[in-house]
Amino acid sequence: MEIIFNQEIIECINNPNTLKVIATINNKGIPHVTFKDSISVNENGEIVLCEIIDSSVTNKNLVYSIWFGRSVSINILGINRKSYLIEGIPVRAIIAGKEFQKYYFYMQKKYGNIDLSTVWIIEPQWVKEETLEKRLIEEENKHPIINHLDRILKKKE
Amino acid sequence: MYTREISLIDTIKKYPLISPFIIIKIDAQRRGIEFSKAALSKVDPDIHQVKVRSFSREQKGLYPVALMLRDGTSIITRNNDRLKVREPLEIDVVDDDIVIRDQGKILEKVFYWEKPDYYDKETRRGIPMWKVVNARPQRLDINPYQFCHLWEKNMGCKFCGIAGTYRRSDKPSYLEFNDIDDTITEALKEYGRFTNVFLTGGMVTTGKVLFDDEVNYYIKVLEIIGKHFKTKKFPSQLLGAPYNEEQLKRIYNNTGLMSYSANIEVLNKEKFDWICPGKSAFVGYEKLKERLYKAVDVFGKGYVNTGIVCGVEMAKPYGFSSEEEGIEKTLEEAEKLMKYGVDVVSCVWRVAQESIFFKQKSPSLEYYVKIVQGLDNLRNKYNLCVDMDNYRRCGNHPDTDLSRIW
Repeated sequence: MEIIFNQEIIECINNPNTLKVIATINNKGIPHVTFKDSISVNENGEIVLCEIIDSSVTNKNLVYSIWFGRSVSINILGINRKSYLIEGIPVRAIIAGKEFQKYYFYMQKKYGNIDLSTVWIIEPQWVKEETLEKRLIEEENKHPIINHLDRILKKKE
Repeated sequence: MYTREISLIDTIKKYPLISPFIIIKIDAQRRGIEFSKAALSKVDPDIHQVKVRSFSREQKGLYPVALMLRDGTSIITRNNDRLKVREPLEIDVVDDDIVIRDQGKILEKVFYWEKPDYYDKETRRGIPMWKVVNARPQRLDINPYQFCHLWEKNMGCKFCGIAGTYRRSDKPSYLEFNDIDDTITEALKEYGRFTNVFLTGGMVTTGKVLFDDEVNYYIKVLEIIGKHFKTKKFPSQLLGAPYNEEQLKRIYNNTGLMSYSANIEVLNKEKFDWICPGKSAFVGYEKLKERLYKAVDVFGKGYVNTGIVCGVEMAKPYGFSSEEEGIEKTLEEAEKLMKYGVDVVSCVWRVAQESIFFKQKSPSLEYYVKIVQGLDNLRNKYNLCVDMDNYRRCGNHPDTDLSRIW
């Protein structure tokens, strides 16, 4: 697997104060977006999502994605307001065994007596910084023709 | 007459809305698997589960007892037996990954089941715990009675391998309560492993009333297990004989049991009478259905199901004459049960060499795909919750695997 994330992004994703959302679709194409505090990056550079609720829409949609090779989108917003959009493909649902138990203990330590349904491994396909300031500069450079004219009016003396 | 069969790869292409993982699972169960030397070299008995003792299976070699796919789907199948009714799928190693393939084409990565911590320990009287309680990835399986009264009377189900398995092994007919107690106590020490306890075994017909001894025995076992939990009820399933209303209430009210199954095996009275002569003589097809309906009143909708050995209804010479008819009649009858709140779950008929039907051939892969899709659709239509027997409990029902996405 190609390494997609640099150290800054890994630190941002693994920071507990970072906001993390995942968007998935179901078998009818209906999108679903939800906050997932349990998203992290493992030592292989893969995204790990610990799904607590077995019957959650995200869990069902991730099954649909792994079955049919559909992508999911993840967006993170760090405390420094830097934002990254990641597209990934779920490649494994770990539901039992020592690897699962490692995350089970981690989740219980973090959240108390909580259950764990599935450890999802999501392979990132690409990542793009979506921080507003950066995107504005990109937009101006790439699409200079798109602009409200009043924004470029000469200032009246 | 069987429909002309298309290959696994073509079946996946033909049914793009059905999970390819589940189609692979069905075919691996239907045809069996064969491990290459490289695949066997990946087996580590210190990590993987290679031993199993159940009422229908005895294995203590170096073969993995089952496989798991990337999505968490279990494939409970076996190294192909000597009969080779069908050409098995191959388990091999490519680029250090264990893979399953057919006709030279890699289908998916697979993983071997990991064994639980208690497996190599012994009970107080020195019985290896794997011989007492069998493990699935998240479930503890206990078969308190490992033979079957129907086979004692030569009235066993024709697809069933219990008698052959029992006679070839040295296992006792009944498990000792202390062995169960010791093993469950040890198994529950492994946190994050088990989510369910499952009880089943051969049918016990004796007692004051038909099946009373079986009910009493299971109540005792459930009490032994239940003492470990702070809640009265605990995630559990009993696949037992078709009990009467009094027995159902007794077992529900006096134990922590949460869900109940009694297998009808074949969804057609005439085929049932032929294939399951013992069940037919002791209970009868219609009475079995009535008892399942009563069970819904006792355990609640979504907590009762019945299993079918999908494909046996096509056995020769008295099975359905075409696959179309088999699919239509099976789903028609399944709907009647599901309408009442009794879920119908299917197992793939793997022709067991220890069974009366050992010379038979299971139907085509497409047959199974259509039936499991049909069962999943019916379950959705009648809003039946599949929790009690989903992919992480039994792991042996392709139709409940499909229900993971709704």
